Amino acid sequence: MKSEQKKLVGCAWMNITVRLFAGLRCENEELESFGKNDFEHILNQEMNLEEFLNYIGISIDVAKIILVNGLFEPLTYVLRDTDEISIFPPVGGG
Amino acid sequence: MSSIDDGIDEGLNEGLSAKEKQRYHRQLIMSEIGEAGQLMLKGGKVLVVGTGGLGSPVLYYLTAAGIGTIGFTDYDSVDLSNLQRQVLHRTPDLGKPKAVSAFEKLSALNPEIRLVPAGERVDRENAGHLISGYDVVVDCTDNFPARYILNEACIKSGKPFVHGGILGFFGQAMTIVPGKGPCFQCVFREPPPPEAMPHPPGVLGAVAGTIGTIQAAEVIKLLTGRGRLLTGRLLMYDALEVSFREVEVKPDSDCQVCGKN
Repeated sequence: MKSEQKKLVGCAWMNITVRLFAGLRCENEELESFGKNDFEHILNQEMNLEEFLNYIGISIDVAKIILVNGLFEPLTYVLRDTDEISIFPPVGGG
Repeated sequence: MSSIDDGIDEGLNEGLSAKEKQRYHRQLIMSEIGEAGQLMLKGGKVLVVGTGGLGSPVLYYLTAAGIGTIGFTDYDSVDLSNLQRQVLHRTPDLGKPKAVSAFEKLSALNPEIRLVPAGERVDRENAGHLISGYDVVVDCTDNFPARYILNEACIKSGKPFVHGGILGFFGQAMTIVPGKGPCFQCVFREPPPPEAMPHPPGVLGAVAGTIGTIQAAEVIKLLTGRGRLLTGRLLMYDALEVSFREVEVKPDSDCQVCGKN
């Protein structure tokens, strides 16, 4: 992942904390975080939430609840340095 | 439509009888509860919405702990497919209204408290009336629309709302205290579309037990003023990994229910 990211030059690096819940995991096999549900990721290109979900291989059909720094944000939210993203499927049974 | 205000006397708050002191002895000797805390529980009025997977452990533990008045509502009847997780109900109860089945078990467990069964489905019209007269409302529903309705009714009337949810090996819990943190809708801004929810969702009974027990403990903490509540903290339980993780959640100033904007 690091060598891949070193190719991405020209933008400020952003450290993003990702927390996945209720069985969600990073599904992008090309990332070091593959298979993890709690990880930090360095981005050096601008991405919104929808693009980032796609990047880590999580379908928006499953990721129905997304919080950034503890607050709801829409899929168009553009990620910023030190953001903490929490992603959940609907845990709605009782 | 029934509610706690309908024909219920208020004669349970004088003190603890010798029988109650024996029944609750293991709580009375706890420094965090003691006789003063037990009287707070005895004076407490709690509504549990749903008597299924979550409602079963919540109701068992609140009844056993001596909450003075416990209301519960469920419009459903006992089905064989419920018994894998809804431990209030038993095989001979098949076809019986769940509120009746629950009342039978709970009154046998603790005849010293007041139990108020109701067979109603929560909707926008009856929610305010249903929760009136209670101090705390516990979310043991199995659907998102009811949660949004109850959350809004609780915020409007200033009542704490103890949320729980389960899915497969996973569960979540959060305690909403109006004015002291985010409400349910701050965190779950929009109901997920029905197609996003499995029908029916797979649920491990033991996970319902874990989350329901956490909800019951939150109610006891609310009534006694003890400990640190799950307010502003969404607790996520993963039974596959045996992990409890928390997400700090914040009030949303744009929230349609509790937001300031």
